[in-house]
Amino acid sequence: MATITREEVYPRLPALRTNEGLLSWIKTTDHKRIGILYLVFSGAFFIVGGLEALVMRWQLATPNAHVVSPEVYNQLFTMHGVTMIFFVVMPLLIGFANYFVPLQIGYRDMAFPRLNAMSVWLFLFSGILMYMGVLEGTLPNCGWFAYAPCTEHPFDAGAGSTFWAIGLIVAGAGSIATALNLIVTIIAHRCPGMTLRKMPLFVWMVLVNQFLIIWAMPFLTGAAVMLLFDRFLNTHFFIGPKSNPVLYEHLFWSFGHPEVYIMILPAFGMMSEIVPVFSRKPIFGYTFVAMSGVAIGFISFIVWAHHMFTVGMGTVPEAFFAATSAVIAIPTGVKILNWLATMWGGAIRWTTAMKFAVAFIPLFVIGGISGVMFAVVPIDYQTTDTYFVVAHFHYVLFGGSFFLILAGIYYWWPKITGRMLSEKLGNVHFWLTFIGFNLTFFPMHFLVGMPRRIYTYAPDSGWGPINMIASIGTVILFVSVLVFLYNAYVSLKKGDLAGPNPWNAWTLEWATTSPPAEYNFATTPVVRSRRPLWDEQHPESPDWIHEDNVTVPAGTPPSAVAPPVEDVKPKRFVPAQQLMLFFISSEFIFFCTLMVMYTVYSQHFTSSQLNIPLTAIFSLCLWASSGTMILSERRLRVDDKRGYYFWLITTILLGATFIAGQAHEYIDLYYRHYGLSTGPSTGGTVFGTVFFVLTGFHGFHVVIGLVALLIILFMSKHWSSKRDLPVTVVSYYWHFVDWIWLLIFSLAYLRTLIPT
Amino acid sequence: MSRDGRWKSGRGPCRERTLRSLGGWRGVALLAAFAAATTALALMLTSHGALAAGRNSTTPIGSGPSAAPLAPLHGASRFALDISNLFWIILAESGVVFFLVILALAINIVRFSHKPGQDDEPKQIYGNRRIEVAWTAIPAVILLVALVLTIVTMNAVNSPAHAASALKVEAIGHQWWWEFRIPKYHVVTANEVHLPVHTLVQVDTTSVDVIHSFWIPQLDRQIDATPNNHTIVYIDADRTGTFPGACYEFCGADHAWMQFRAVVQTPARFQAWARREAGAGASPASVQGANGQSVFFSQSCASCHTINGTPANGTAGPNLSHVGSRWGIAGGVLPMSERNLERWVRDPQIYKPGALMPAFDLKKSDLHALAAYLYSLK
Repeated sequence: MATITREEVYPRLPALRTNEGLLSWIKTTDHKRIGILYLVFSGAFFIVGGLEALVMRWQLATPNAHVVSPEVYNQLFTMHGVTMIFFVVMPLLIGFANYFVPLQIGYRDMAFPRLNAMSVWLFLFSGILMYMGVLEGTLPNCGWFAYAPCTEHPFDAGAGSTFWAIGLIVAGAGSIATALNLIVTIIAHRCPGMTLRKMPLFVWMVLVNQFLIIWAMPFLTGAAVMLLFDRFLNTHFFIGPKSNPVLYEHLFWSFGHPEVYIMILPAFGMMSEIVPVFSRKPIFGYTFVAMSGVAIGFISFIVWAHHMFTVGMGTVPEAFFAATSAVIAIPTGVKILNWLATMWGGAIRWTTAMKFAVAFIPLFVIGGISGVMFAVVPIDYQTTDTYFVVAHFHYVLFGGSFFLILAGIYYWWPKITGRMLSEKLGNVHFWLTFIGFNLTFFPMHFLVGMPRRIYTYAPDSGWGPINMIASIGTVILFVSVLVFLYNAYVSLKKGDLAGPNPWNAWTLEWATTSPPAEYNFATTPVVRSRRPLWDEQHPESPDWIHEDNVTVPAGTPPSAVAPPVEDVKPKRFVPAQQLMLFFISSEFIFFCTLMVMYTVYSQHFTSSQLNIPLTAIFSLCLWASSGTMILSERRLRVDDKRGYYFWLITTILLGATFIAGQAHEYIDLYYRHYGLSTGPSTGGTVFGTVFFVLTGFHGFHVVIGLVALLIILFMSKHWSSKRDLPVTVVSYYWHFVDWIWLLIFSLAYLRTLIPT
Repeated sequence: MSRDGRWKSGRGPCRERTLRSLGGWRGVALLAAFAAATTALALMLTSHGALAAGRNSTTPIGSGPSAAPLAPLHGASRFALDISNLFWIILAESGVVFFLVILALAINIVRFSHKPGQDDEPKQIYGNRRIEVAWTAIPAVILLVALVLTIVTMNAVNSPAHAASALKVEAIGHQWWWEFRIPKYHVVTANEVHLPVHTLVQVDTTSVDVIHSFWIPQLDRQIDATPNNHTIVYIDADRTGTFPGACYEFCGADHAWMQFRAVVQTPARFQAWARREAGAGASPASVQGANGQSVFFSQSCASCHTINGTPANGTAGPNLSHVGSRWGIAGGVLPMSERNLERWVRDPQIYKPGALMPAFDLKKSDLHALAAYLYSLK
């Protein structure tokens, strides 16, 4: 089965004219064009988010200013955060990943080009959705984190928070789709010889990042879904006498802290590409640089509550999160030191890309140091939600991520456009950005004491002059953006031609034309080391001698003792299977958020009203359907079509029986008044909230599984022992919805049998 | 792809031409159009706010009586001092780290920049395991020290000795004002709390609506006031004075004006204040005041506000028994004065859009009388 390719399963669609005009950009599935779309759309959002910042700084420049009303100011800071995080930094990095991952791994496109196209349009439309509220006059206005209950209906009756939740659910779907796509592309389509140990560091960091996305996003989706239920269906997740709004904070930051690394890891990867090229040396300590990224990825999932040190969690949990937060500083520091060591002994070329990359180091260290200070819990008590924090995260995200994004733009622009950017204008751009950035954000460190998110302040607060300086810095940043746009315009019109490898760099994207042809490489490249182009230019001392510890006997050319090129194709699963398995892991996290809420709130009710024996019978149907699905697949593999039909239809009927059982149960509970918002006792409201949402979402997934099975059934004439991949992939999903029910059934039903 | 040779030629990666010849008029026009568009957008964004603000652009918002600024690093209680000492220790430690990084970077820039005529690639160095282990281990040790200091200070701040005998104060967050209760003295007040010096005070915080955050930067650590939850902080002021506090968690439209004052006094003065605060509101001493009181009861004021010793016992809004003695109105949005009370009652929504208090369209004489009565409640 592993020998079957996608093309064999799905005959190619009739060729479309894809090379001309605006329409070609809309229907494109070329990863490079999609990458450009990501960059252009996020550039547009950057302008919007930047203007929002400009207005905010205008308002804050002087005390008691009346540039905007408090309501508008709150919308501005919310949308500035939401825009910059979800619609600028994240998609810019994803755009670069889209464009350069296939090139760097020597493949012709992403693993799933059409899914890729879907992702970019989901991203654009989710951004537009987020701004939809402007038609009604209420953009989201409770901060990018949208803490409940501030976003609950009684406190925010406008449409803003609704658009926030829906926009981020859609954006999350797009991000997860593209993350799955990148993971599978990197795992399944690296060129021969590119083992994980020889992968470019940008690809490494993108890979780690996509795992963060698929495992962190579901927390946000869960929180947003619960918020929507609260707002529209009167559930009581985060509002009401038994609710605990702190749970929202936990859910949000379980996503929110990995998100911080989602916004920096690929930028670290860019740094690890740019610094070696312009220092003319290989990266120092490749393994440590790559593995520190992996370590950051793992640890980022256990540090979330350091955003919540003022919640009053108690000393023990606070000490735990202080420790993990301190630990995550270590791999980050290792990276900084390795970049410094890479420069050491080099011959540094001060291109604009290198200037931005090097400026990143002190700026990120300042942000990192203030970050470590927040890990020292008592300091966090005294600085959180003040402008000290605003200074900190702008040093990390602007001085960190965004400086590297700018470095990446200058580095890869010639590859994307085929033309050079002006170094002279680049120099002006760099210095304006560097000065403007520091003028804006360094003074904010001295505003410790000034609360964040206030629309104005009193004249006797003493904050006026510092705020004025910061506002002047913002104007300089604004000018720097204009200089860059001018530079880009000039370059596109009449920039110098770049040629395939203007920087004399070493990774595979520089081995093809600028811009690359639609198929990327005329022949599939073969690599033996991390710097294939170095090997080609220096046959006397190729990198693989050091990487593989090869001893070259004196007098022989290294090529005579070159080790064989390793085949890196995964043996066990084909891309579609990988996609489904990783998707299931993401779905599992989503169910975990629901199950956690159920567990926490179950202290407020008894579920004695549940008919456990009856539900057990229906559950047995569901679990049995998992077995019949396996039988169906087995029959198909021996080309027994009748057996296949029999067991597949049995599976569908068993699944439908389960849904019918659930419907019966819901109707029964409904007539006994266990609704979402009303109930026989106050406990009923909490029970209704968590029970119906948890089991309802499972039922919803079963229905989706049934629809997928029906599609498989109706397309049955295509399937045979040689073409069973779609059946296999759908069966994975079906097994997942069957067996996640075991957890839910145990939690919601069986657990009530245990006497307390 | 043969070696490109750009570096070897000693030239920059691209030739430069003058700025003017590069862009031409079309570039300038594009830039101008962009600048015009952004300005228009900015004006559009701001016009809504400008309109709203135009109504009250002359009002003295927020210019309450001066107090020390919100300054967490100028501690006036042992807990705040513990923390600011830790802050300086960690800052010094961080300063050393930052200095070393900058030093390494400076050496890199000075010594290892490409020099003209340096044609060959530098020596290719791939890494060094020993160095890597060292610079993984050294930061770990530094961070371990910081962690130990963290835990020690956390314990000192969060679990002081003799906590059980502390004076208990309740701080309850409302959109957008603070209610303070001192059960021992039957005090219920708002936006201004008095505390005894050199006395351990336990503040129990909660909220009736959204999440707020309670903080007097010079006296205590920040703590969230969350609905359905109770959180505790301790204060042990070591000098008398007036210390500003504020809500630090975003809590809606008027988060900026949810400030309060903590007045630290000698225990004797504190007790005098507490007794007065728990007592009845002053009876009107003038005809105008008496008129104001009858306005107070003829309007719906009493359904939301309490004045001790009168039938007014509403609890949705701040207790007004001694409102005239407080430092400001409505969380600092206006300084306390008779004139400002009048402004506030007439249309609170100008000053605090979204506040629960409705506007009162009263006759001018009634408004004067009501403000005079409220201001006399010292």
